[in-house]
Order: sequence, then C-alpha cells, then structure tokens
Amino acid sequence: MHLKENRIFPFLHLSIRKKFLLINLVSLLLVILMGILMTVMVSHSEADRRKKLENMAVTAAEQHVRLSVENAVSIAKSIYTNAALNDLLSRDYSSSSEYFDAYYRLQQSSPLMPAEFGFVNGFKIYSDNPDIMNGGDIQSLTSVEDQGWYQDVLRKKKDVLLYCDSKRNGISLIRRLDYYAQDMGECYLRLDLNSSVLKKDCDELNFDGELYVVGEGVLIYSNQSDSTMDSVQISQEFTRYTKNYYSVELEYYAKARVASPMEYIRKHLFPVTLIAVVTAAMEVLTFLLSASVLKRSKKAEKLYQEEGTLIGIRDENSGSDEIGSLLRIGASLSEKLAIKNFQYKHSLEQLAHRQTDIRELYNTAMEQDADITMHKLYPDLCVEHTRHSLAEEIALIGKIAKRFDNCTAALPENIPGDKNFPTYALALVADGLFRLGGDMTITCSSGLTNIHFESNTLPDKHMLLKLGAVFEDGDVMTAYPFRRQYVYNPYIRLKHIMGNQIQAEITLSEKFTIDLALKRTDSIS
Amino acid sequence: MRSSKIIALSAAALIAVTGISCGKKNEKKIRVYSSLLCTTGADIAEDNEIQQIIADKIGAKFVETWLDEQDNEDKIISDMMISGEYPDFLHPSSTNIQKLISAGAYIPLDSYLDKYPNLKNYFTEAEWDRIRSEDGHIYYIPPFSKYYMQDTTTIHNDEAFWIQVQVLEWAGYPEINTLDEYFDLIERFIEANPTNADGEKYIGYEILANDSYFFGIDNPPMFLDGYPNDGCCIVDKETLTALDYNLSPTAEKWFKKLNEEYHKGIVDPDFSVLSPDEYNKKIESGLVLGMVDQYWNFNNHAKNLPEKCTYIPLGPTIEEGIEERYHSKKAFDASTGIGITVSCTDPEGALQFLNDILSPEILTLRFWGVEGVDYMVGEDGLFYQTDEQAKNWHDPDYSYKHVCTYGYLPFYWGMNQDGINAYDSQNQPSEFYKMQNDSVKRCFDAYGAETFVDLLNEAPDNDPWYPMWSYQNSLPEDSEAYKVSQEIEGAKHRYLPLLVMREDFDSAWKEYNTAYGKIDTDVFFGALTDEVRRLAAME
Repeated sequence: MHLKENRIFPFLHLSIRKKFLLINLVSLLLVILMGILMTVMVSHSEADRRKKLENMAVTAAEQHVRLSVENAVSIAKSIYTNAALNDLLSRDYSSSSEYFDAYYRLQQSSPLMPAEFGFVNGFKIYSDNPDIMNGGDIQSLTSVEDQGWYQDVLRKKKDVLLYCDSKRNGISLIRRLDYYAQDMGECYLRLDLNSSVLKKDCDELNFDGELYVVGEGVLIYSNQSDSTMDSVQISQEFTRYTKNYYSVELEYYAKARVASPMEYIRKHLFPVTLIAVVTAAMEVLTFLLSASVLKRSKKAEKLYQEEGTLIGIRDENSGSDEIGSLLRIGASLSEKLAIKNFQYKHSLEQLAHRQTDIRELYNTAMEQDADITMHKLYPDLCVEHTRHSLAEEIALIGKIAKRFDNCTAALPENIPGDKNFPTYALALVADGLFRLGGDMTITCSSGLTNIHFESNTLPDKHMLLKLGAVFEDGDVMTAYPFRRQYVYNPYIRLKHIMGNQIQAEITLSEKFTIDLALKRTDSIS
Repeated sequence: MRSSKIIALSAAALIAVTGISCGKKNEKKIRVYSSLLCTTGADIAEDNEIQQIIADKIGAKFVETWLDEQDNEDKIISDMMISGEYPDFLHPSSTNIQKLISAGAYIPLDSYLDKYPNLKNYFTEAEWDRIRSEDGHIYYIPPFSKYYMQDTTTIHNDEAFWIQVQVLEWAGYPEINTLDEYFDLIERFIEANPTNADGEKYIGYEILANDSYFFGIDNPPMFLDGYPNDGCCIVDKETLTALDYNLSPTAEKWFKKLNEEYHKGIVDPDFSVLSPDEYNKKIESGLVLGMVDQYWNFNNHAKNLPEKCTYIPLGPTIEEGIEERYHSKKAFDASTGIGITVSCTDPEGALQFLNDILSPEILTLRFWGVEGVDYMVGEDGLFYQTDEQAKNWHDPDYSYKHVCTYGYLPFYWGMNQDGINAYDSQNQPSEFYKMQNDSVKRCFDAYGAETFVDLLNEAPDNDPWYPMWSYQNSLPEDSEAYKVSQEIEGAKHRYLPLLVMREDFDSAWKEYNTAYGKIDTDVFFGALTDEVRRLAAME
C-alpha cells in the first residue's frame, strides 16, 4: 500500500512551497493557454468578420453607385424624350437672339430642372447645330471634340455609356439624343453624377478600412483622405468586385483595417481587464496562501525542533483555517502529552517507591526469618545486629561447622570488608550444607570470596534443580515463600542479597559439590 | 510582510493612474462650434496656428465649413430644415435665411445681448432694429456691415466697370469718364491686340447675366446716372421716393450700347447662356478685358492672373458732368447674417465666442496676425510688414497653416480698435501700395492714386435707406412686393439679353417695354418707397 501511494500520488511528498508553486505554474499556464486559444479563435473570427465587412462594403458601395447610375439613366431618359429640347436642338436659328429666346423658354420648363438636384449635379447637352450658342446647359459639340468622353463615345459606338472623368474623379452618363434622330444631328447629353452624394453615401458606411471605387483607371471614390490613383495600393488582401455599367467596368475594392492588439484590448477593455485582474488576484492569493501555510508550518516545525513541543504556538497567530486547526490540535496534543508524561513519571516514581518498599519488606522478612531460624538452631550464636563483617560471618560458619561431626570448614584469615555483610546470609546456607555432611573451604582474594563444599551425600535431583533455579534466576525475591524454615530460604536470601554478584556452580556426579563465588562483598546493599 | 509590499505597490499604481487621468481632465477644454457658411471659401488647417492662439485665449474655436462649387445651397438648407439638424452657426444667403427663421431654425438673440457688451455695442439700436424680424426678435448678425471710426477700404469691393490694367497701360492711362469712352478704349485695344501672346482671342467685354447674378447687365443704368448701388431702384432724395430705372433713358442707352458692341464682336457672343461657372472660367482665362461685376464675385477667379491682367475699377457715367457714385461706404446689409441654430447645445457659449472675437486683441490677431511674426510695430504705433511678412501673409499655403480671419463672423472694417492702424494690412495705405504688382503701381502712379478706391469718387455718407437691395432681399416670399419683384426679374431675364443680341434694338426695346408694362410695378416700388421713408424717419 505504501509503495502504491508513492507511485500514484508523488504529489503528496512534495513540500507545500513546491505544491503551491506547481499550482501557480499550472494556473498561469492555463491562463496563457486560454489566452493563446482565445487569440487564435479571435484572430480567425476577426478575419471572417473583416471579410464579411469587406463584402458588405463593396456590396453597399455598388448599390450606391448603381442607384446613382440608375437615377441618372432615368433623368437622361426624361431629357431624351423631351420634345421641347428636341425642338430647340434641331431648329435652325437666324440669330443668336432667336436661339436665346428658345433656350430661355426651354430653361423655364421644369423637366430639365430636376437634373440639378440629388444624384446628378449638372448636365450638358452637346450639339453639332452651328446655330447653338456655347454656354449654359447646351454647348457646341466642337468645343468638346477632344474630350475623353466624346472619344469614348466614338470608340465604343454606344448610345448610352458611362464615362469616368479623371479631371473631377467622377462618373458621367453619356446619352446620345437620337430619339428624334432625323432632326437632331449629332447630339449628346452628359449627366455628371454627383460625387458628393456618392461620397456621402459611401462615407456613411463607416467602413473601417480602405474602400475604393475605380473605373477605367480613375479613382471614383476613396474613403481615405487625400487619396489619388497613384497613391492607392491594391494588394491581394483586398476584397474585389467588378460590375459593368453601360460599357464601363467599375471595380470595388475593400480591405478592412486590422485592429492592433492595443486597439482590440481598448475595445474589449472590460473583459481583458477582468481576466487580468482575476489572474493577478489568483496568483497573489495563491502566493499569500502558500506564504501563510509555509510560515505557520515552519514556525511550528522550528518550535518543535527547539522545544520538542507545540505548546508555544499562540492561538491568535495560527489562523482560523484548517492549518490553524491542525496547529491548535498539535498544540493541544503536545499539552496533553506533556501532562501524561508528567503523570507517567509520577507513576513511575511512585512505582519505584513501592518497589523499594517491597524490596525492603522482603529484606526484612528474610532477615527476620534468618534470625528466627538462627535463634532456633543456634541461639548461642545469634548476634544483635543485622550486619557484620564477612570475617564475622565466616567465623560464624566455622562455629556452626564444629557442631557437626561429619563436617569440616577451612576458613581464610585476614578477610577484608566492612560491617556490611548481612548476618546469617552465609551461615544458614552453610548450616544447610553441613547437614548433608561434607567439607567446606572458604577462600577470599581481591574482593572475591569462594565457598567450596563437597559431600558424598547425593541430594535428590529436586534439590539440585531448586538450587540451580535459585542461582540462575535474575531476581529471586518474589520466589521467597515466606514459609518459616523453608529449607531453600537461606539460598534464596543469599541470591537476593548478592544478586548478580554471586555465581553458583553445582555438580552431582560421584560427589555433590557446590561452588559459590561472591564478588564485591563490600558493595552489598 | 511580502504581501504588504504587494498591496502597497498596487495602491501606488492605482494612485498614479488616477493622478494621470485627473491631470488630463484638468487640461483646458476648448469649446468647438460647427458652422455652415453658404458661399465658397478657403479652408484653414485643423491645427491652424492663429486659430489655436485665439482658442487658447478665449476658450473656443469655430470650424468653418464652406460650400463646394457644385453644392446646391437651396437643397442643403432644405434637407436641414427637414431633418431639423443644423450646425451650431449658419450663414445662409438672403433667400434662405427667412425660410430658416420661419422654420424655427435660429435661436432669438435679443434676450442675450445685454450679457455680451462687445456684441451689443457692435450695432446701434437703430441698426439692431433693422435686423429684427417681424416677430420682433433678432435671429442673425450681419457680419460685414460695420466699420470702426472711418472707412479705410483700399479695394473697391463693389460694382464697377472693370478693365484690365494692360488696356489702360497700352492707352497711356487715359481718363475714362463715360460709357462711350470705356467701350471705345476696349475697341481700340482689341483692334490693335486681337489675341494674347498665346494666340487666344480676347473677349472685349463680358456680361454677367446668369440666374445667380444679373446685376452686371441690369444695374449699370443706375450707376451711369450717378446713383449709388441701391440695386433694385434709385431713390429721389427730395421726395424720398424709390424710382424704377429699368426703363429709364439711360437704361435704353446702356442696352443700345451693349447691342452695338455685341454686334461689333466686342461683347462675348455666348454671354447670355453662360452659367456662373462658365463666366468664372472666362475670367480665369485672362481673356476678358472688361466687364461690370462686383469685386467680391470675380476676385477669387482673377487672383492668379498675370499682373497685366489685374482689373482696375472705373466709374464711367452715361455722359460727362455726372458725378459717379460707384464707391459707397460699407452698406448696412440686413438681409442675411450669421445666426446660432437651435441645434447648438451651448448658445450662451456661442454668444460668448462671438463677443470675445470682437475684442481688440482678437481682432488684431484675426486681421494682422501675431506681432513680430506677421507684422511689426513702429515707434509711432503704425503696424507694418516686412517684405517677407507681406509675402507670407498673402501666400495661400502660409494662410492655410497660420492665418485665421474668421472672415464670415462679425468684425469691423475701417480702423483697428487702436485708432491708429487700419483693421487689416490690406487696408493700411502704406502697406497696400507696397503689395501691389508693378503694373498696378504704374497705374496708380499715373492716376495719382495709392489705392483702388482712390480711382473712384470718394464716397459720401450713406443715406439711411442704403442699400435698398438689402430690403429687397429680405422681402417675405408670400408678400405682394416679392411676387412683383420676381415678375420684374423674370421680365429682365427674358428680355435684357435679347436687347443686347437682337439686330433690331428698337423693336426689342419696345417689346421689352410692353412686357414690362404689364407688370404692376407700383406694388414693388411702393413697398420700396415705404421702406425708404421709414428708414429716413428713423435717422
């Protein structure tokens, strides 16, 4: 399970700082990625939108031009069929005054007047009638023979055609006035389409970009100020549309302006600002959050390292979030542990005291039992004090040995040691051994006292096992039976007193031997 | 701590942004007023320097929008009245201003005038009364009718018999006092010089006779009899009666003369059918040696001609002994002016602007420019221009970028408000002579003149009713007088060209008289007479 967690959730083992850094990076990458995706999507949709705008612009511009042209055609038709005009143009005049008279009357007639308004801002009629005066609405054809529109008329041989006038960057409609052909000679009507109206209508499209209308190399319309045909650069990016009107091809070009990134941002200032603010806020909040968590966790870590507890964590600095709760739980646990620790120590001390008391109790019981046994067995050998020197104890063993006929005791001389040896500890053991009959030898050297006893009397195996158990156990205190004159009491007492400072070796083969090695008899407590 | 730094930086950035935006808001705001001036005119640059200086001083700017040559004023005004949307200021022709007033296009100004002393004092009470409409309100301010202290005009801006200076020079600067002498001179010049240096045939005399302006053919009898330019009538000062001169003996002589000259080939044979544009093109060609016209009408089309083609004003009369009155002091033309429309959202600001541009400092900026840049000041306080300054001031490119006269807004002809200088350099006699070409200087020297005005009789003070054409222009369309005036105009348009062109002048004259006689002209001249007497009584 632990190995599985490592493989699937390695994130768990990263530091908080790295985790938050990772979160920051991921969220920032997410925003950047979203930004890139949005930019790509917006670019594509902007390109589509620009294309649509361009198509709309050229379509609308064409409609305006078509409307102007159709209007002019309609006006031309009314002039074309005007009988009074026909009469004026086809008559012979004997004098200029006669012509003026006829011309004046015609001018007062309304059909020609509407041509002054709206889509057309002027018209001229050109006639080859030599009697016609050259001025006003009617002029001599000879005065315009070198003009471009007339050359076009001759070249294209059309009765109605458009002419793109490079001098005024406008369009004229030329109509041959041959409704009454046999009377009128060569006669043409020229209607100048009102460039201002066309410009106003096309300007009102408010096309954000370049929009041009070009006819036969003449710039009819441009929405760019101070444009000339030479300055117009038509590239492949332009949307193009061509339409033929009365032998003239008019070309419409539109290219929407590509908004700069700054313009796009200015246009969508609110959402962009919102995204920027939210992203910045997210980064700042994440940073603040990680800083808050790290700060508190480091503080807790430092406190634990220095003092081994979280009790010093102040509640008001922990915060009221889950981290703060954890810190407060940790501090609370630390506090409870400290209390439990104190209680445990107190209990241990109490236990130690009790252990000491029990030990004291056992010591007393063993002493009492030894004393009673000694009083019973050798009342004349009893002493008053509970401790005497090893030499005195060994001397006592000697005395006891003399009470047995079948025992001998070889005792050392010059036995060192204070009066610190518990009385009767060795004497009663010797008594027990002497009852088997045998020989004891006691030697002392360099703090080591050896008691060797051998006997031809072989004790039963039960006794050997018991003795072996007494001297093998670590602590035999609790084995003391508190049964008076229990035969093994002296051995138990001796082991209890000496602890690990006594070694016993018991053998049973042809003889029964027991060797007791006592160390540090000067440090018996 | 680190979070506190972030918060502190953000707060500092916010304060900086707020400070910048507040700083921008605290920049001086210039009020901008739109306009339509129903005549052709020259645009100035959007960042024109003197316009900006004026704007900085008075806190307002006026954007001049002129008509193009091909624009139809009637349609433009008509469209505005239909939509109800107007520019802030509008200066239409006299024909359209009454329509606009009737349509409620203008804000009445009279209740505001007391607040704007420069404006209020621009006219006398009597003059303000002449501008009042029938409902008693003042809706517009005529901008060309006032002069300060005295008339300092150096150029004869009105009607005259004009002749190219080369003709006078060729003839040795003769005295031309009569109509016959005028045409005789032209005939002799044409005979000697039928074409110019490029072989183009001269037009001895051009007649201005189109629908826009007919005064070139019908006014001269008035001048030839020594009357000032009342236009539609001559006024008998004794009886304070408006008289019709259309059929006067002088008129007959005038048209007969034209007839003779026409048939001699001196007069342009196409004169009767020329559109205004075609007339102007003839002037621009430099081939027209003489015509009757008003300087303000043809000047723009003659300013680029060679110096020898400069037109000089002459004041012939029908016969010797008649004092000519071609030149008049500035006439009070109440027929039209500049008004503030109901579309202006800040009429008081607009009036403040009009008031402020009449201050002495601004008037000097408008017509003299910037001291040290456009003119210098002598120790005697007289303004003068260095050669370079004079050249610049008349250079179209320099004017476009630098000069702002606001020429269609109220100003004072005559003297500058300092009482020492003329209102502009062109009218400062010392400067005017300097800026003339050599041909004109020789002409001036020959006739002992320093200015064009010196070539004509000095103008006496205007009569109280002068000019009557102003009254005619302001006649309501539904009035009987207006209707009769249209009949008179119709008859003149129909017959006067014929009088010039017909072989048999006498029968043409009879025919004209017969047709004219059918019109009840008393209605019109009666109304004129009433107005003469009304204005005479006001003085």
